Amino acid sequence: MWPIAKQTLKAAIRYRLVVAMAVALLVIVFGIPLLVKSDGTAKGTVQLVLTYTLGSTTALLGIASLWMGCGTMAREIEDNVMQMVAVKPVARWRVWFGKWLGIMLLNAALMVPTGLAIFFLINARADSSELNEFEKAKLQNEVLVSRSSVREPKPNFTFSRQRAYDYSKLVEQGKADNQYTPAEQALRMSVTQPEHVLSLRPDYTRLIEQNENAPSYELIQQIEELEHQALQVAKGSREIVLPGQVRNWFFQIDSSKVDRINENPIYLRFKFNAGDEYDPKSHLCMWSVGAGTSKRWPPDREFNEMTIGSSVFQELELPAGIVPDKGENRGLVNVSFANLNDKPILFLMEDGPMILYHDGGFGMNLFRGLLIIFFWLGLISAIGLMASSFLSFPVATFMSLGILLISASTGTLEQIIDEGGITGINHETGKKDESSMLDGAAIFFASGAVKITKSIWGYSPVDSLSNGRTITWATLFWAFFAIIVVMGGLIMALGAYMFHHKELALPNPTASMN
Amino acid sequence: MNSNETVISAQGLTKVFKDFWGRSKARAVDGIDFEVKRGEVFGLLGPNGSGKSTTVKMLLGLLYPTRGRITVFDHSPRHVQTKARIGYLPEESYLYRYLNSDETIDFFGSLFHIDSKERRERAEQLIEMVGLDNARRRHVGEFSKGMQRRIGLAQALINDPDLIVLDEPTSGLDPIGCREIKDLILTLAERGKTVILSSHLLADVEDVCDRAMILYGGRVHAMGTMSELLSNQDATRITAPTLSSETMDKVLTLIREDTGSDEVRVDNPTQNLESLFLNIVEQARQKESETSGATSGHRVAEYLRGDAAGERTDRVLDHLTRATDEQSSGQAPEVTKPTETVDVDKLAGLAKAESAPQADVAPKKKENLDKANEKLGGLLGD
Repeated sequence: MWPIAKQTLKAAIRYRLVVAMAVALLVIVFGIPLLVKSDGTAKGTVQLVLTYTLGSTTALLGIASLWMGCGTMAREIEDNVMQMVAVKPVARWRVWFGKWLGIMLLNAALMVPTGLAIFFLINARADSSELNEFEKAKLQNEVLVSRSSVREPKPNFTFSRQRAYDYSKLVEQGKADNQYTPAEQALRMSVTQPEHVLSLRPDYTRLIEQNENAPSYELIQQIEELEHQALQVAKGSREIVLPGQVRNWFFQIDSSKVDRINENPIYLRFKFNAGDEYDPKSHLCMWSVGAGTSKRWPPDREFNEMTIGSSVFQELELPAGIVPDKGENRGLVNVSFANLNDKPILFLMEDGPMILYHDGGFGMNLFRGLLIIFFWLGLISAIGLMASSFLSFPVATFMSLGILLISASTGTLEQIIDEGGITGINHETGKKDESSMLDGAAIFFASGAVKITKSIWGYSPVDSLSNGRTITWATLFWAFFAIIVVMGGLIMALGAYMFHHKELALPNPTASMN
Repeated sequence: MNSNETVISAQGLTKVFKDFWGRSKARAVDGIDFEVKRGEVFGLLGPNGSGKSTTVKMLLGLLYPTRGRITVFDHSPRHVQTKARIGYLPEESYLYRYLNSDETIDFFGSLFHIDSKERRERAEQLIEMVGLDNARRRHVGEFSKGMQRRIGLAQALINDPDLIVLDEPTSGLDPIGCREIKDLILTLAERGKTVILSSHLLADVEDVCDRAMILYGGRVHAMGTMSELLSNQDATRITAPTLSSETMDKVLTLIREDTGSDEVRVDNPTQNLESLFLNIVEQARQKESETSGATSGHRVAEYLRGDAAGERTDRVLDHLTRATDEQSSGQAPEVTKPTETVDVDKLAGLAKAESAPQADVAPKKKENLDKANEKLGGLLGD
């Protein structure tokens, strides 16, 4: 398949696609920094430059990959050149894979110099004499760095109706601690937060018993509504900090890394919402770290006060050496937040807070980020090749673009899942009154599509790189597995199958037939 | 090497082209049966739309039969290893336009897993053979149709194939190129290669094929050896040196008496246009040799000559030279079209009766007959 791959690459060179792409990438890498208007800080500028250059590079190479994927196969089939290859002793799947390999060689040939140019350009900017030492240090610590993150363990919000019922009945009995049987004790210890919240609703057990005696759709709906509320309460209790309340988070850092982490500042990254979720107004935030230990911040008072905007990510620099390094609390960072505002503050679980610590250099992180982009390009070119294995060039391009657009916009699919189907939505409640088989099928399809889509596009290398976040080797491996092995493999298998069974000499309306 | 080995076998081969909805659009090939043995030059003859190319493409695995069965070297045409034994020249230039001659040969050679040194050597010989030495660095897209046919032929031979499928091989070629291709086909056949020649040019098929199948409307209308297909048992042709009017009268009288018919015609044999053209070009070449296009081919590539090396191997150019020499000497030209209707036995009797001097033309006649015998012998696999 190497001759095919080299041939594909040669075609791109001879048709001057490589030159055109190289010029476009040069314009992106060197032109965007001249056009970017940032918040005036060195950090903001570098972040924007990274975001735009990497984003534009991804978009440009993505389009080129799609075009190449569709063009190289469809054109050769339409021009009958593929007949000359197909009569040679090369299995069709090797031809198909050779084409893909050729496109990937082209992508690599374009990405390597682009990545190097971005790396050196950004570093040159960071070393610029126009920046003062503070800005340089900020850049080096917050952007041109690879920082890993630690979050609180994700709480268990799962529940089973039977366990919730059993636990509620147990609570109703009002036993003393020493009166529980081992089985009851085990249930008490394993109960999840939503199950606990349900035990506070006496009507829950009654509704379940009524439904057991005389099942009805209304009863089921009431039970489900209570369970939904319990889940929301459980989540809310983790996310909402009411006025006057203090919320604590505990971040366990790998104790073997503590000494090395303590050599550099660490960062508390968070985003909060207040009142209206989309209200970007400033609010008073009071933070403290390591309360009750010798490693505390701020060192001179209980809380650090700051007024900052909601709905955007913030980073709070914590001094080097803040991570407890002795005893059983080694690596355990305790962060407290006091809400002295007159409205609740909401910390959505998916937004943190989290602790960021220095974990490596920008160069290697950029390399890993570019590899994830490279995997995406591999998938895009495979989609193009697959489509062109049985469709003409324009139709294959149209189909591939359609697949990409649908996979990149999961909003509708998620709405189907949220609403419980696609038919008969009650617009007053926003829910379905009754589910049909069609709804079940729609949910099944939508859930699968969302999972697949997230497994492909769920990585955010550009965002991670511009925020100095580590793209771990594990992330890279899973990205490779999900994007290339699983999805790419499926598409490659489908494309190779189509191509294997294609009659390459079928007459088309513009060809004569002898 | 078994000359009875069946290289291609088709039984009930049918191809129906269908539209997107599966409705039949055209029955291109309709239940044809044929076999091709090793070493045969087999012609597929028929007008446009008769199913020649469709048959060729089914035997190459580019189209799949709707019904029936076709095997090549006892395998499906889609069998990958079998393809290593096949060379294919399509009816049009289906080559990468952005590659030059060297790159084209090298690329297709690499698909046969031929190592790079061997590829280079073969490419060198092939490009010289097809007369593209002067154009080896030019992109195929810039080539004239004839030059594209030549490079197409070169790529078809890079693997020294056992089966060569040539679809309209002389289309777009000048008469020199046509002649070279036909000579090359004969050389390959002499080496035991099997050649499938699809053409609607009757002369091509007649000149080189052992057997031919005539297709019309996707069906076989005639099949057999060339002599079976072409011989006219109701007529006899006599070729002789120029006769005096006296002798001619005697001969005609005798024939008329014997046959009791006036259907006896006498005319002068004519040189065919191909020979005339080649003669003129050769004379011109001897005067000035510069050309920016394709030149006439040279020696058949060494690896293709194999055991057939020797007199026959140099035939490609020598053939032209010989023809020129023969015809420019002013001696009797070949008769190419039989028009007389004379009985052979009667002629033999006539020859005995007459003792006209023939010494000056006999060697030439013998040479022509030897040549024809050699050609037919080779073609018939004797």
